Amino acid sequence: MRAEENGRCITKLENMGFRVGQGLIERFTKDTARFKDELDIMKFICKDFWTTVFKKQIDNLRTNHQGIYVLQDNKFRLLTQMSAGKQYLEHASKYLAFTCGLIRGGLSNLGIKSIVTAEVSSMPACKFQVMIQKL
Amino acid sequence: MVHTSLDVVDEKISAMGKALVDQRELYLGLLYPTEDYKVYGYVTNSKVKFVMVVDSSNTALRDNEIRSMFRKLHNSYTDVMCNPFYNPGDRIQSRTLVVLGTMTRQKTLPPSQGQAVTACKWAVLGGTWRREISKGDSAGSSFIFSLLQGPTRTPDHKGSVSLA
Repeated sequence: MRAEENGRCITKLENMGFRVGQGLIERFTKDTARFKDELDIMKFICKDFWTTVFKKQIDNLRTNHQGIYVLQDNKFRLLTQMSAGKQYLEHASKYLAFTCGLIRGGLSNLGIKSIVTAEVSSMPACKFQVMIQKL
Repeated sequence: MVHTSLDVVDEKISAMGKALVDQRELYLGLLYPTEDYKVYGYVTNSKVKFVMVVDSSNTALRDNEIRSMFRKLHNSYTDVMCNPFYNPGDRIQSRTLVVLGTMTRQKTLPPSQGQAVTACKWAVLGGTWRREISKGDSAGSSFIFSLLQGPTRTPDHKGSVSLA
């Protein structure tokens, strides 16, 4: 019962993040130059977008050049106050759901359909995995 | 009119393939034989296309004005997107949105053209936006905004112009 409720909450949070992400991206890309390609868009997300929302940049961006990107943030702002290791690990997913939606919403408005998931192994570092759906 | 807008969208998609350098494309195209109207296009980074159809009755609009109008349009669109009550894909219909497109052209016309000076305040009075999903883009959309009046209407007139 709890697990089901938890799942529904996370989906709701993610959808909220999606809608917010759409609006935010619209505002942020208003004056920027046109993006050349997908990698350019991901870099924008890592640098400008993350800086504006979380006041810092993504620490590491990895890709396999086939539509999978891993964004690593070693000191994720929403998790820094929770713990400095493995404590409360199971509660972290709630806090990451909104941010996943944020990324997904931003990408969707830029013309990229994607699936974003997050994983935490040790707080406050976390990884966001973006899987681009090629149509 | 509907066919025109579709043609315009197609033309834009092909134009986008060539030079992706600048953010806006300001092209006057499609002057039809029967109605003298110009079409302006503007593309944003988020693949949203604005199409403006103008009935140029007497004097044509200047380049800068079109650009500034598109800028304002873009700003208003951004505000609409950020509105939490707005669901993407809905029709945008607002009078306040439209008032932002008011332009005054007193400086550009010489005073010798008597008619031009009196009627130089040009207001965008009513407009309904229609959102069309363009075929090539998965997340792209076009807004067709038509301004079909000349400068002689008074600002009190509440007109509502729709393309459908």
